[in-house]
Amino acid sequence: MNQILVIVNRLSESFLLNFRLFALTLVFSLPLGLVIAFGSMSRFHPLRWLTRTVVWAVRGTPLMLQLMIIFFGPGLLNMSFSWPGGATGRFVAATAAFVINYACYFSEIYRGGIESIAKGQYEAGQVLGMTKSQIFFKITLLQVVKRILPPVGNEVITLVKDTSLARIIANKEIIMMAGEYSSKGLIWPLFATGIYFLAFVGVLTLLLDWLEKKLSYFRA
Amino acid sequence: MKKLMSVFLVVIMVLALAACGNQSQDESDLAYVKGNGKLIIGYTVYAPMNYYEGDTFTGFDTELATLVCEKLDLEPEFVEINWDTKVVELEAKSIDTIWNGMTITPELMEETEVTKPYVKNAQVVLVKEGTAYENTASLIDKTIAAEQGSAGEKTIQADDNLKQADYAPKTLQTEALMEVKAGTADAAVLDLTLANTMTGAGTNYEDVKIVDYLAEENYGVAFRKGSDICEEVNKIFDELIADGTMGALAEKYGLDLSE
Amino acid sequence: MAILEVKNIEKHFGNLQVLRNIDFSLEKGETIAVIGSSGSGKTTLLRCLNFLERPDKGSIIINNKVIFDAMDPATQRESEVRKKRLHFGLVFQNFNLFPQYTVIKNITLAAELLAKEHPSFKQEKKAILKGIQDRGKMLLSQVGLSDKINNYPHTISGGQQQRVAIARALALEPDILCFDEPTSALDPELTGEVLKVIKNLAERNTTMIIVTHEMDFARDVADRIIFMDEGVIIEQGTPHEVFGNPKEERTKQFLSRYKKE
Repeated sequence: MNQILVIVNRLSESFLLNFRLFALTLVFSLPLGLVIAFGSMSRFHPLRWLTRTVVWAVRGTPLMLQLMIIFFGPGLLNMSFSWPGGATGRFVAATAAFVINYACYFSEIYRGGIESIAKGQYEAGQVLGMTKSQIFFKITLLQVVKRILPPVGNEVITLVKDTSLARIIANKEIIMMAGEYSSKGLIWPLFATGIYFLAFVGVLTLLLDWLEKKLSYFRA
Repeated sequence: MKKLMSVFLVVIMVLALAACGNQSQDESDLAYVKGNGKLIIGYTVYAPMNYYEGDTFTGFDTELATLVCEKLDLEPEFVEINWDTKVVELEAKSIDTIWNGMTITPELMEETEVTKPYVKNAQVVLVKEGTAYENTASLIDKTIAAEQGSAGEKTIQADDNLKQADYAPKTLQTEALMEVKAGTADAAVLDLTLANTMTGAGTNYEDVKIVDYLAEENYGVAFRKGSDICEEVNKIFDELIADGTMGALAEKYGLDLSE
Repeated sequence: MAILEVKNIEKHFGNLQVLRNIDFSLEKGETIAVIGSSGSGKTTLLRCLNFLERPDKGSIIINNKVIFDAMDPATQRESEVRKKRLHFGLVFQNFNLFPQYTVIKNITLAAELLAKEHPSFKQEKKAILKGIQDRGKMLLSQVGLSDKINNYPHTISGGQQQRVAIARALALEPDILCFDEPTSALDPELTGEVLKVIKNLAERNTTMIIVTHEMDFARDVADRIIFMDEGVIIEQGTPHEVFGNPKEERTKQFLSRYKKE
């Protein structure tokens, strides 16, 4: 019994790493995605081309590979930049990789949402003398948010599971921790990790449903 | 996993063309770690090499590495890594050495600089004292026990003679030992480390003896290809063997040193 | 003095010449109905006036001031264009109400945003905003929808939405109110309520340009009819002249189709 408690304790602690990675990734990638979306919709051809190429490259390669490139790259290429030592450096590198990756995915969702808003909405704002910024923030933004909530919610839930990929550069998240036990012959911790993920995704699902409900007072 | 590694290395090679701010590649590895004042040691949790006893981090390799670092005047920094990416970690300099009960293989020798073997591992054949045993042929048509899915099982299946014996799979290695003691199995094939811990004077299995070493393998410590630290460590190993430290450590953890 | 003068407007999209040499003027208080088949350029003309499209050639003059000249880039700067749009109001075929705002907010939003640019906004904020609110409510009652003041657009009918759109366009007190086929997207039963509102505005001498397919309505409400075909003004005159005694062949062809229905 005591051993079970110890293991549960260690699993819970390591899940904190998954959670922190999840939270930091969202905090940075949600806004960065918007910046990238504007880049890919830019009228300035070179910028648009560059942005779309980067988005293609980032969405077109496995996140696992990106984690390795970002963490091992500087050392292997003898760059003057190097990640800070210890667990911190690995966590920062993982966060960087996740932020870039998810920002690109979000940017395409944003772009789709923004472009799907009827041109008439934009024109109605124009003929009423609104500036581009006013039109974006006062008219299109909320409509876009309502439209993109389901696909963004999907990505958020995928992110929860993806966080365990950080173990490829030895971030001791929950599955790596459970792996310690399975290599000793104790299997149940590995399956127990499923409970953590389920619970967390459950909470997120409730939150996303609540948000969807809040936005249901109008039809876009 | 291997495929992912090769794709990864290709990408890195392509990126290497665009690398910026290069450091000198001829720098001595030893000078490099001395410059940092520490040796970053990559490990995974693996008893009896590196593991936690309560809150204390200990183990054969933990203690050995700490001793060696003292002699090299370096601070040992233990960093838990992902075993699959150990060579990449080494090359990327996020660790300076892989020191974790690592079996020496030809691939490893190609990719890294390996010390001389320091600890021996094997699958061993155990029989009850007094049983006649010449070699594996002695066990044809006899009963052998081993842990299901273990290296011991693989060894039995790979050996022409042992293949012809009656194989009794057990859930745990310790159960195989029990069968030999009880006489319900003629022999057992187990990990050397476990055999050393569980049999011999003062144990429940005093009358069970190791009679053969199969599938011998050696452990070594890996450094970056071309590293000059390797030589230094080899020298220190020699010293530690000569003054008996290595032997005492091996006995403490129930391991056998390499010849 | 004409409130609006449109001179020599030309517009092409790619290889297609949509407007050729459009010339007309509009007096204050006058209502013009623009008729013609689809593709005649009526909508493009309206969009040019509202600065949603930029003419390739020509000029637009309001109250004797040149607000647009294709030859003069100074008149085309975005920052200026925004202010110039305020001379016009536009009611769209598809209403384009803002779905996330209530009816009253749809009407007052633009005015509130513009008020912020007013130099005395900070001191007189409360008074200014109240003024906007009151005006909004007044316009809403003018179009007969006071009871829907806090409704969201998706809870009212198309005809009601279009009436709100008209109130919204009026909120900024434009010099000229434009309508782009205001009833074309409505069920026949609902067109009546919208036409009634527009007629009411005409009776109050609101300066308007209405692009429409509703011939009877045009005849009834407009002071002047402009008939367009293939980007050109074929004929213009009073409803009596254009409907009763069309001079041009194409006008006669167009009207004959309508008379048969």
